[in-house]
Amino acid sequence: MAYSEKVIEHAENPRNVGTLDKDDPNVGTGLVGAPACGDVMRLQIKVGDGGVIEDARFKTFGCGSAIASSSLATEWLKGKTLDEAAGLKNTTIVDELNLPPVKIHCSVLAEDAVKAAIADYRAKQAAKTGA
Amino acid sequence: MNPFARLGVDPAFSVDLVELERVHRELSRALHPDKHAQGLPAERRKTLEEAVAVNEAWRIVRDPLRRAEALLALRGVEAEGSAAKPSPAFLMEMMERREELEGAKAKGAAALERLATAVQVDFERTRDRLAAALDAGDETFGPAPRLLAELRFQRRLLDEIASLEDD
Repeated sequence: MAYSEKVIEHAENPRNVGTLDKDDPNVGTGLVGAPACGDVMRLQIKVGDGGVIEDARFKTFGCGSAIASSSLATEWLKGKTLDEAAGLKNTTIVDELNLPPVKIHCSVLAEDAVKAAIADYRAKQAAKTGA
Repeated sequence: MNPFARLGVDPAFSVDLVELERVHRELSRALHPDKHAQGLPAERRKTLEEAVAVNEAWRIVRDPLRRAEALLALRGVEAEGSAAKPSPAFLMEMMERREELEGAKAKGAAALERLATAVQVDFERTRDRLAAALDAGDETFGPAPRLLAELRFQRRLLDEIASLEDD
């Protein structure tokens, strides 16, 4: 199957690969996986004052499309508010990367990872104010 | 198709593989085209179809992943969806195993072999927990869909390590 140029570009030069401190209260970590293909994806956001995402990092073990989807997601997340970030749709990734139908689940995985990271961050904040 | 009924074995996750091979051999022999060469065309076709179905049922029942899928389907339990989400702790472990694989690739065959052995132990542990969930007599099968999803991850990882070892 032929990958689009954008997928290849992101897969060969992934942006924002790495780790943020998962114990930092301003960091939200999303960990998701797709049993059928065995892909695992960790996506982290660091949220600054005013609820704006300052930094985003990821590590994905999977196919080129999964890597490209998470790479694109981290680029897109930076500078967004949490509410904007929560509105990320996998279809945006599909369009941007020109993903074929068989690879759409990779973009869904990235969307799930973003949502999980936001949920983790919000749970941490709730725990902080609750304590 | 109910693969257990097709083979005449109990619909359970715990299966006697030696007995399963014997049943398959016996059915295959009885359905062999040579034994039915004198039959009418319609009968011969039916026998052939049955032989194909028996083979397919045998392939399902002997594979732990497909056997678990078949049991869930028989009881109408959803094998996908939110109940099939691996636990966060499991995903963390997968992440670590994948990182170990990156390291092992660089180190060579012996390191890959060690990792394969470790993941095989993980796989068997998950499989045993899946067996407990599926054969406990609880109709809802409790954590079975999640354990099946986790087993799929481990199978994929084992396949990947094996393909690297072949290179």
